[in-house]
Amino acid sequence: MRAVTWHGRHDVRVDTVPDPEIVNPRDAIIRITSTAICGSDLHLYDGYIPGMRAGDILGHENMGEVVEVGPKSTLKKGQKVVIPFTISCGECFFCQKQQFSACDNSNPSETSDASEVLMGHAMGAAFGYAHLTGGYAGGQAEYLRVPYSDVGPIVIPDGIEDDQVLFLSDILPTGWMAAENAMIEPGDTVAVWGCGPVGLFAIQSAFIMGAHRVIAIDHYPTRLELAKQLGADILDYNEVDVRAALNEMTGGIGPDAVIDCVGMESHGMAIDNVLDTVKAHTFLGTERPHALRQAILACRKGGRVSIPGVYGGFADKFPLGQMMEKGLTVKSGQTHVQKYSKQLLDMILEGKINTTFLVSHHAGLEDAPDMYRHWHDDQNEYTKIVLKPGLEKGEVETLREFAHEPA
Amino acid sequence: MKIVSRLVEDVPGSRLAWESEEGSDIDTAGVIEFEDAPPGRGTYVRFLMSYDPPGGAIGRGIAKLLQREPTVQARRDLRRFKQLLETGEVSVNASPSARKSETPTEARI
Ligand SMILES: NC(=O)c1ccc[n+]([C@@H]2O[C@H](COP(=O)([O-])OP(=O)(O)OC[C@H]3O[C@@H](n4cnc5c(N)ncnc54)[C@H](O)[C@@H]3O)[C@@H](O)[C@H]2O)c1
Ligand SMILES: [Zn+2]
Ligand SMILES: [Zn+2]
Repeated sequence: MRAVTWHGRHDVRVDTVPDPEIVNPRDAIIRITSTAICGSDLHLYDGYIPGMRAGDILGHENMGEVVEVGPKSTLKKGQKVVIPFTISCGECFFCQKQQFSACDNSNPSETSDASEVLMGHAMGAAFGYAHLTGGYAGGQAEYLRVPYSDVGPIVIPDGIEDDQVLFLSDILPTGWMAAENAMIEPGDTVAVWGCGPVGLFAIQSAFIMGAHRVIAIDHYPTRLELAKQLGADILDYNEVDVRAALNEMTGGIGPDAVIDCVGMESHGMAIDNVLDTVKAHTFLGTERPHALRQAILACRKGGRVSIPGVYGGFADKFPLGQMMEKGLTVKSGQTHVQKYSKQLLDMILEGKINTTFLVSHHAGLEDAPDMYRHWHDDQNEYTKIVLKPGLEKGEVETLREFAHEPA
Repeated sequence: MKIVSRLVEDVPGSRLAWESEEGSDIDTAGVIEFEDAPPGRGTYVRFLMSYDPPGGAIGRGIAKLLQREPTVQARRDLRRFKQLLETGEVSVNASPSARKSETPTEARI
């Protein structure tokens, strides 16, 4: 089959590789119909996540049609399924607590050792990510092997477009859990850093959970425009002093909850961020937590800090004292996708949540190297890319032309 | 290599211990203990082993490099055992890659 493979920093290719096979009784194989590129893939593309190997197949936001099942799978051939990016057994202590991304069994014993050394405990597994998280092939390919297919996959009723449900695999539950972790109360002002797909779903979720006001921060006009369409007030950090603006907008108190939907590759020329970038490029550190630092300083006393943005290791100049002295509550984590699947699918089917507004491009697998470059270089125009193995090379569909005024 | 072991202790449900017989190529002894975890949390399994590495410290270093060192192997086997009991299968990342040396049905590091 054809598959999108990682070969090093900024080196993504399309290779011919063997088809996946059923290996364990609970496995299923799906034929991929849609597979999205995520902000997390950018961290791999930029080479910031340790434990990738040249030749790994990318892709953790996957859906498709069941084509083969192991003897213990509960799926049926022909079913349309969305696959959570977290691989979870459903049986261990953590899965039983619905902390699916912390699954204790999915990361094979050969690969879990390293993450145990790095993190203190073995991490759960994910599709198409580093070998620290299991080294399973991703779904930016024609076919995907899905372990524990009796518990993870979300069966989709007939007549639903892929784009409507695809994001149940990751960014929708991630935005939702980010808002849940912000423990929103009536009257709250919630500030969201980053208007990428995760930020946009966090904004939508925060409103559904009762936020009085959401303030969205980014520097790309079209992404800010999408946030505005969802009802958020917007701040372009190139135009305003973010902390001063947030204080101004909250009567000096600061937002009740702050959500970091940026992660380890904060943009911007703030002095701390420039130093972090130099360190990251010289391998003296992995993190550039500029947005998170700003969020912690901006948050009101006794407020909540939610961190869906991905970080990989140790960070310099983390505002620990500020966090402690202000009495902040911090919640974070890879998303427990399976916990939210049913609730969010129902909300999509009932039209309570808009999942398609952010998709800017469709393309075939053969165009993936170009799409990765655009996803990296042209974030203003490319707000979410969905790869469809059914599309021919060069058959790129642009779903929205962004005509816009500066924010 | 030949090792003949003899069971020296068998407390049903809680403890198994063994030792290698005289004449085995490696001198080794081990014990496995089972203990109830707090309610709802299953069973703690503890595995202790001692052995005289062939080739002494250097042999042990080489085994470690080849990931054949008993500490590594024992830890991984315990994890596989837990996986098998809890999920009915041993977790394996076997899947395709663009690396010619691998097949989609084999575990990889
Ligand atoms: N926790 C999880 O399970 C999970 C799941 C999916 C994604 N993620 C992570 O969430 C983060 C966002 O993902 P995405 O797909 O939306 O990525 P993205 O790259 O599309 O979006 C990030 C956005 O942050 C903006 N940004 C950068 N620096 C900023 C700053 N200093 N202040 C304000 N905005 C800034 C960028 O302009 C961009 O629009 C990533 O770190 C990703 O890895 C986590
Ligand atoms: Zn993702
Ligand atoms: Zn589990």
